[in-house]
Amino acid sequence: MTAIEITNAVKTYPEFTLGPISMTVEQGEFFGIFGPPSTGKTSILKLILGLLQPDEGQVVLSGRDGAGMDVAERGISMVFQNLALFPHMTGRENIIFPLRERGASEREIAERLDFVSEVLHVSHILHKNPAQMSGGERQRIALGRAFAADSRAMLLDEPIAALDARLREEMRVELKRLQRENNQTFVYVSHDEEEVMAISDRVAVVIDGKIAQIGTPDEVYSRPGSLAVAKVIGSPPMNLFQGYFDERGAQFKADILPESVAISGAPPKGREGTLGVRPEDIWLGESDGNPSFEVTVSSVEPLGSYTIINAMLGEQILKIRTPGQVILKEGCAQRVSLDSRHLHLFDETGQRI
Amino acid sequence: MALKYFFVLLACAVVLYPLLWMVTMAFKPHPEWTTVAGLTWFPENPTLQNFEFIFFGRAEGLVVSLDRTIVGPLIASLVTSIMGTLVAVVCGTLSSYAVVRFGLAQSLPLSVLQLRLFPPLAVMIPVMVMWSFLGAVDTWWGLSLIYGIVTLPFAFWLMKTFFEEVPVEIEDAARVAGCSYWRVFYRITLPIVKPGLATCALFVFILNWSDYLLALLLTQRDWVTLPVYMATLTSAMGGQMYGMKAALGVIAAIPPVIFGLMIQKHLVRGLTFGALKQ
Repeated sequence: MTAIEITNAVKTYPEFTLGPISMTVEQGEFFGIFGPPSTGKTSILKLILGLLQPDEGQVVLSGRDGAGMDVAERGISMVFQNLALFPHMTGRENIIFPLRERGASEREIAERLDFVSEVLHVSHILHKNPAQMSGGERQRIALGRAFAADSRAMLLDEPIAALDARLREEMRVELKRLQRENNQTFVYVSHDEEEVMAISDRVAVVIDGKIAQIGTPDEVYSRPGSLAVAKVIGSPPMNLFQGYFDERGAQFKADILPESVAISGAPPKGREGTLGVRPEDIWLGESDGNPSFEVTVSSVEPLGSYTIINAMLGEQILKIRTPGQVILKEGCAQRVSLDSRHLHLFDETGQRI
Repeated sequence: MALKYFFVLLACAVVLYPLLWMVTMAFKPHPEWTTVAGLTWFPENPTLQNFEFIFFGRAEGLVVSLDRTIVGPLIASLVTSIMGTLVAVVCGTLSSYAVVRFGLAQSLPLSVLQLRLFPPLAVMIPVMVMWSFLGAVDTWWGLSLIYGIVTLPFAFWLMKTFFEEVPVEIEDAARVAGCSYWRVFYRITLPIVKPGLATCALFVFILNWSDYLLALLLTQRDWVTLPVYMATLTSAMGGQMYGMKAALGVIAAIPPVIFGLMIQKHLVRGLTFGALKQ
């Protein structure tokens, strides 16, 4: 069943246009929205919530058109980016606020409160005011308030961005567990690519107010639909080579690579384009049947299970990611080869070929 | 360091000395009012005579008497100041919230401010004409109304800055939780700006309480307020009645002080501390 369906929604601001946005979120799905900061991710959530009305297009919630639905009757809860706890209420009052507003019975309120404080481990801070809580505690209360409502979908706007790295990882696992156990629909917004990829069933990549691609994290990563997506997904980012496709459409001639790269598919013959290679698809040393060339190592970042090598090819910096610990002297010449099975080709307009 | 304390003490002296003068004078008997007997810091023969005089119109040992006591003006001052404060704070709060949150009447802030751009005296003649036409001169509601109108810009602007500090997400969160706009306002926003509201009410009350000009022009007898009444405490025989005026001043200072103490705990609080993540 479709929980949220947005069709060609457009929202125009004086200096920014969001959309047209089309996307569907299935019941029980963990749907991620990823995009660089200020690209309209939060506005998409507000469209779903009804805090914003689309200028064009429509938002449908479980089969009902959102146009005539008030915010209160949509039955969607949200964890705001800045948490937006009610400062004059205790943790308990914050959590049960949505229940009270919807006229839940005392028994129901008590049950939900018990449930929420158990899954989020907040029993010990229920009597505190937000001002007396740590960042992580406020986080949990904000999540608790959204959870208590038992809504049809939960929207989370960068809910864990302010936490430190370790806590963030814990919360990530926790969120996924909560979502799975309750079979709830989650829409999760973040500008942290790793976070979204790790947690979501499907990801929408938002760039400049438009959805550039929707797919599973694996699809988005291994088959980015456009140059723009290829640029924002992946860390370190994909290596890109400007060049052109030859007349026969069998080879790509990159401006700075010494030899042409054999390609397959149906490229626009004789036209300009871009070749993308992920850092992990560049290998150290020669390899049979793969194009190879020489680079100058400029720095090496050993990161435990893998090593990032920054190398110069002419004027361009190449990022190479290689498993394990590798020791290379800065300034030395190194022969590298491209994994020709994992080449990404984009035409002049940036569309994937 | 010493210099810093010197200036602090100097500032305190400048501010507090008139108060000291007023309080001591209130307890001085007639002969000690002026330099005839030599000025003293504290009353040599403390007395409640001055208070007795303004409350009962006469006092033991004084030949002069008053045809009206402080009681009427005190009630007039209380009623008109409180009502005026209510008018200004209620209207100012609701209108500034509408402007801040719903973007209504964007020109309103400046229009409201214009009410304060010229001295009230400049419009007092037309106001007097209007008020007498409305039958509002020397009535409690006439004076309350003008107090509310004159202090409205102040209440509006003060509340505007407080509302602007409330993050819109907090209200959005309440709407998502199922609140109507009106409910968001009184369940969430109003409690959050409570310190601001208290401060605003106190300031507006003090403005109304200390008004002299409006009350002088818009009252005649029944609703004369304390400041106007104080000016009448002059007798042909005794000249300026310093002791009585000081006693009146002491009594006039009590309501704002009580009000201030009552809301003190709200005054110095951050509005939304802890609501957002840092």
